[in-house]
Amino acid sequence: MFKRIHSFFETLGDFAGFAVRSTYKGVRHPIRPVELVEQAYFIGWQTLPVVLFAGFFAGLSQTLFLESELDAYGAKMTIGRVLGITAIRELGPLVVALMLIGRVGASFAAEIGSMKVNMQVEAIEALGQDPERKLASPRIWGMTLTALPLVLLTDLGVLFGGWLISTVSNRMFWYQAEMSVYFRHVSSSLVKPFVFGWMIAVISTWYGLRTEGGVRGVGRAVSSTVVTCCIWLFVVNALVGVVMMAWTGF
Amino acid sequence: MPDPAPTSDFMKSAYPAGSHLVDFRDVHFAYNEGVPVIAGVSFSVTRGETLVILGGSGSGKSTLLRLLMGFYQVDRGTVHFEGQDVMALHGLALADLRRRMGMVFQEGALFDSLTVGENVGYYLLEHGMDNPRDLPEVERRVRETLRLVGLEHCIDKMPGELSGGMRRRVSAARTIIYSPDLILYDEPTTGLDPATCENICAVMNDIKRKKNVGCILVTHNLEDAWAVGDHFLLLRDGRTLWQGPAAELKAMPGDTLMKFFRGESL
Repeated sequence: MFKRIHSFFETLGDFAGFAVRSTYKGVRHPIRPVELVEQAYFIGWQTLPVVLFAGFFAGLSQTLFLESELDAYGAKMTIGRVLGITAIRELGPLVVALMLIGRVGASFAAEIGSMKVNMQVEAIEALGQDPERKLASPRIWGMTLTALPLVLLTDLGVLFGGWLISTVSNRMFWYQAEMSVYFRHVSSSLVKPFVFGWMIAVISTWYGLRTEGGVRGVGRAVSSTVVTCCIWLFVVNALVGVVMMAWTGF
Repeated sequence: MPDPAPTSDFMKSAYPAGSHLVDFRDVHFAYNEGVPVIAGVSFSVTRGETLVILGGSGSGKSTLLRLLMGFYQVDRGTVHFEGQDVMALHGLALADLRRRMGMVFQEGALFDSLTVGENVGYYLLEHGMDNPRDLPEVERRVRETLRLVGLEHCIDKMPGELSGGMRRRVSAARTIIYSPDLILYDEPTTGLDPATCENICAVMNDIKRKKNVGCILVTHNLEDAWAVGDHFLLLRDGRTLWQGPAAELKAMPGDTLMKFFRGESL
């Protein structure tokens, strides 16, 4: 039992050290613009269609049931506002984070994990480079910086999906949606992408760099990345939500 | 066959510290506490010489190379490279030291997403020659190095398109392009046909002769060992069983090495 507790805290310490080191290394030895552009292209541009698609249908289905519920209370015309707040505070950041976990985080873990089991990570070290700086830092900064535009565009996708199926007038829908753009709502949407992006990239690169045991090890690294990211996503989402609410008022 | 037991003492008296490229002295190492992988190994390598470390699977051969690169810390003993204590170096100082060594990995360990040319030029591109005005010089050096290993025509191919032997020659090219003082070969011929093995050994000898580097070859292939070795170290269960010049080993009874691999006493 003591051994397991010791091992847990050892892993936690290793992870925390890695998270701080690899983030800091990206600042101390600035990442080359070409590396950032490469990451932004993969993380941002290539994920954009997926998150827009998911956001659009999430907005559509939300509107479908919310509108009838609101109608029961005679508040159907506020659907734009309700959907706007939902999209900005929760749906947008969560949809993007889940897509980033599935598409990018899993890919990071698999790519770096394969490099690890094929000794390419050791080769990087042998060539006088730091694998954390070379493999983790650009991905961490790439995802941290790219998540925000993805979330903002996904928010629009959610609203667009809702607008398409809503039965209230266009003018009323967009007027109400505009009412949701207040600092206390938008601040969540501005903070969450940075936190989620950083968290997903750190977890996936950490699992990738600690892959052991050949092809099965790579599979385990990917699976652990997805499960860990998903669990912590909802925990951190709640924590950020509470902190933001305490800061900006309920 | 000399008595294998006091190897470390023998090495201490035979090689004064600092006069060699590599100096291992009484090195002990274990991945897990209480399970020693290396126990009291000592050896030295000079420039223009190839040391062959022979041993069966799990004897600790590759671990010795990784200790020399500073991937792990020894439990006891010292590891020096050109007089510098490898174990005392960390971070950038260790990275700088590693740039003076090169390692050719078992399967080549080429970067799959880069072409052969980009793999070979990786070191130059990552260490300050990535400006557009430097690119012609990088390409010239990449071509020159690939010519040395006989693969200039593969410059635009992806590693996945190469055979096992070609991948290892590219790996050697990636290493020698930055002119290290020492090249470490980690079983570079495992799983290759005899003709390709012969070709790789010829490349290794060629590199040693033209670049005047020190080399350490870790292998269990006897033909490769005889083809390139100047000195031999026989390793069993992390302990040195015998070490000395190739000529001395050749003069021993014919079945000595087979006895060694069978685990019998020599």
